Amino acid sequence: MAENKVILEIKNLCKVYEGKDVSVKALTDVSLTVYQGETVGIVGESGCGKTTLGRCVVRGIDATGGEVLFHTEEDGVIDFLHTTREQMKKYRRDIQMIFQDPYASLDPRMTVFDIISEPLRYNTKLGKREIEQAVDRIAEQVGLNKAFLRRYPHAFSGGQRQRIGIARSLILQPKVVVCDEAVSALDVSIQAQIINLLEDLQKEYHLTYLFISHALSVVRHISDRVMVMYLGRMVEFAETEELYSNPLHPYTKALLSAAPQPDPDAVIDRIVLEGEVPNPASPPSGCHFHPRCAYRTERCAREFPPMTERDGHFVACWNCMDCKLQEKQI
Amino acid sequence: MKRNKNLSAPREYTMEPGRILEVRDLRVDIKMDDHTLNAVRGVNFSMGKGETLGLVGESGCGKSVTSKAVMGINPDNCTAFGEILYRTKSGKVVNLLELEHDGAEYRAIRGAEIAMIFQEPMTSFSPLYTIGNQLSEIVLLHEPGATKSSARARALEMLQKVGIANPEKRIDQYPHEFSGGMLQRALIAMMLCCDPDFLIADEPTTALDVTIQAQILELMKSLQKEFGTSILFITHDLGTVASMCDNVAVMYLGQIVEYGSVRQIFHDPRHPYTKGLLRSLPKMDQDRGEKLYVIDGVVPLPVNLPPSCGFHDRCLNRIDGMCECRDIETYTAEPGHLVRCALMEKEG
Amino acid sequence: MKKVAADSRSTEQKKTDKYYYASQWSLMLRKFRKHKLAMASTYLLLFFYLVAIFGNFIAPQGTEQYDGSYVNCPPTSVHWFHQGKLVGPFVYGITTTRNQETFMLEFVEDTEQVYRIRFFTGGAPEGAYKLFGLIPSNRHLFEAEGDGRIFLFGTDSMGRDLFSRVVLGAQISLFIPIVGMLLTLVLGLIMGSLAGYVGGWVDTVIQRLVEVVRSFPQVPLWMALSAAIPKTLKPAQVFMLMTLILSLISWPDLSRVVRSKFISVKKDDYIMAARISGAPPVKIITRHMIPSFTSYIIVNMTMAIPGLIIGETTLSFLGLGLRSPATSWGVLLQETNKLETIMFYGWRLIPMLFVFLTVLAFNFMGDGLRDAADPYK
Repeated sequence: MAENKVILEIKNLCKVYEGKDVSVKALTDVSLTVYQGETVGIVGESGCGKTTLGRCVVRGIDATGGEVLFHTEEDGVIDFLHTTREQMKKYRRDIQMIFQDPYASLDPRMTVFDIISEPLRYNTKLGKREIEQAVDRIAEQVGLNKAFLRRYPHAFSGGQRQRIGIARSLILQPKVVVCDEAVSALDVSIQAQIINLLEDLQKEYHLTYLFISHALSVVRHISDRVMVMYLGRMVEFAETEELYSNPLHPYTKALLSAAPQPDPDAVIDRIVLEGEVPNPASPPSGCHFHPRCAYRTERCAREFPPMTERDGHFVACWNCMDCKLQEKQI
Repeated sequence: MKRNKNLSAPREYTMEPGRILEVRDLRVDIKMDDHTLNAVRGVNFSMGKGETLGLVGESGCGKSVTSKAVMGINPDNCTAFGEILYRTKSGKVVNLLELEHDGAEYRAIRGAEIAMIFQEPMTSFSPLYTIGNQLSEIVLLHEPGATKSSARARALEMLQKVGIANPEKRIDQYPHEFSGGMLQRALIAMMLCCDPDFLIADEPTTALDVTIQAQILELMKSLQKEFGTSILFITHDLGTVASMCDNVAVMYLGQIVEYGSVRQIFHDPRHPYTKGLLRSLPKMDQDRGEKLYVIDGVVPLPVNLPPSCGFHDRCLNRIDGMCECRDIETYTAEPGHLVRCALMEKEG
Repeated sequence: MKKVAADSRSTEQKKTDKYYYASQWSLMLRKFRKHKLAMASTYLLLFFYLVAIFGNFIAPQGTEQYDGSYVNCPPTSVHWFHQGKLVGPFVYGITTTRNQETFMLEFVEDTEQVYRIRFFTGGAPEGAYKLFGLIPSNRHLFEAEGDGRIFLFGTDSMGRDLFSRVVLGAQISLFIPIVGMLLTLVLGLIMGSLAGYVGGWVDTVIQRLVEVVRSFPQVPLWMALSAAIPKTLKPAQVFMLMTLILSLISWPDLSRVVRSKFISVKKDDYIMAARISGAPPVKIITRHMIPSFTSYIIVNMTMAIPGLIIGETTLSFLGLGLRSPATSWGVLLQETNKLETIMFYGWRLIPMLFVFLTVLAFNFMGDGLRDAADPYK
């Protein structure tokens, strides 16, 4: 699906939350190149920084360091983190976001029409009539009954609310959409509806998705490439097939094996990790994963492994670098 | 929760040997501001000793209300009808719906015989006392001869058993010093302290991360092996059910639409809803780009439902003149595999 | 049979439709209506406020009218039947005698003299007033005809009609709190939003200020400030200063509510959504943040009114607020602060009943509003 036309480049993105006495490194040196029309899945457990990453990309929060480069047709490459107000205003609409909680993300005091049309009112100078047309069009696209647009969000179920949220993020016709756990709060049958909708919309509008989720099977279904994060750092990044069939990083392996399979006879060689995800405020030295890793060496505790690549498969692990891990497996 | 007041003398109940719980035609109504929700609409199931039954369904299907009816902890605006038979440790069969909720009899069963673990373990602990305090309190409450020191020793033993590292130090910590996974372990330890026969686990791993979820499930399985506890496992996650349960009951709109062994349900689902649910899951081994199967429509509100199959308006195989106009009976597809679907009648 | 079912379904449908199209305010109203006590209180308060607004018309006398021959006259009773015949509402004449032992004036009904009560009459020229301070008129709701006197709540030690004074006093006692509340609102909103939205050192400074103001004992502070009001000011000016004093002391509570709401709403997803869709901060505050807690502010303000009413009453009672002839409930009570008044002239305590009823009603109404404030829970 990727056409090798870069649309977004994230370079060494960092985010530090400064507290009164502690500072939490929510993101450390995350780099990622996204091609137009593809879906990049971002997986990890709570506290791994995936949500922070998404919010930094859409400029919902300000990153502490690094670059978010957006490739535009007219103005070339612009860095979202250090750009002029005008350019920001012009291009902000190109990156939008779909939220996890379909209840918290819609202002309960506004009608659905007002919610969906709000971005238009801030970013365009359309007249009343044109706004109505645009809202009608997008509502139909996402499968909302036009007759219900004057209702308030409390009249809708979770799935329908998520459709409203999708309509709001797509009405500006963005190029990149960050889906932050967009289907996690939904029931299975509704989840399938929304996933299909997202896929249809992607085809129709040639969208690029950053799909953030902890649900491995959903990410596998929708993504072209997948990035695995642990404690604010990326640990592995590869094409979906490659990552799921040949995970290199011990954390990815454990994560994949832990995912419950809807099949009682599935042969799962479950790797049950010891311990818990450490507190991001005081991450372990060296490779953050080493206290839970079965293959840890003395070097792992000392320095963080650099990202290495072979055939588009990136991994940050000292063992994988020396290919010891694969040997051990055999 | 209110119960149906049965003025006649307490009945003697019997249950097949080997069974620990039997729910007969359970109905629960929830009174809302301006309407009444028929949250559970005639649920029947039974559980053997040491069995794990998965109660699955989407939000609003009544699975949680059912489990809370067993525990007797539904809020005051709920009214339950039917029978919930339970075999106590002494071998007596009681109808839990007939017991006073706050009466001595129910309290003796709740906690000591039937324990419950919740999705949010934090809400089960008081933030004001140490974990050790709260665990020993349970021991003291349920074991007549226990002393303070013996209770603490037992609490320590249980914390060790559920795999909490460094329990000597952890026992004197407060709940907020525990992470979510740790707290769920502590909750399981608390439940183990009184050695219950029957455990209700209401979405015990939903709030946890995948790797932690795997740990907790493994723990529950090994403890079940050791203690022979029966588990009523409530979840919306079919993956968890497949790895945890012996039998599965699929609920839709307050009714069990299909019941069977875990293999029957996952390998040979008969009810269109179960089939749809399983097909709509993204699979780890599915081809990329393949469309997900979708069950169209939404779950209706269980208010004033006419006699019909609750699933009929979303069902692709519905039989007009049948599914929407009368209640559907439950058919036996094969031994131990029950399906509440009109298609079964047609097939015979 | 089937048709009936269809009909009942469609009314059900209409009911849910109405719910679906209901805005926040109509949802709140639905919930509020269910709170019986709050509804009753609301009607009572509405009635009080209407009476106060049309006070000059409803009160048979002005604040400055007095009659030396009817000093401390007990409430007049209104009769319907005279010697077994229906006459309509009327009062008997009152004869005054002095008790030879106690030397107190005693008032006895003279059942010979019948004075009917007339409605909407243009009374004596001394009863002239300006309705709403604009429309000159001397029409009153009711008056006894001829020389008849009607004192529904009795009279005070200067022979002024207590009923009229309660009604006219309500104009001040009921409206000072509203003006005070509005001032409180402005102060509380500004300070609260500054603290909540800007944060940082601004927040710290405002929070310290709140703590300082709150740690003063209220009554002495009122007293000190009121004592500073020059005695020479006109009642209207005293009125303004008093509201200012009351609101200067009561803003911290509201500012805290606003601040905490700002901080909690700031983290909400829909605020983030608005920011991402390019909404400028001003729009985020006015369109999303403030509406999200307007209802709480209203509740808070309603709950603050009783305090302000008590405040005004207390100050006036202590003789630090308004003074006679300006009339408020506090002034009326101040005139009763002698033991003999309570012993002999029990009716003089009637204004207290109104203070009590009003404060209670505001509290109940606030209760109902608080329950209704968040219809989405």
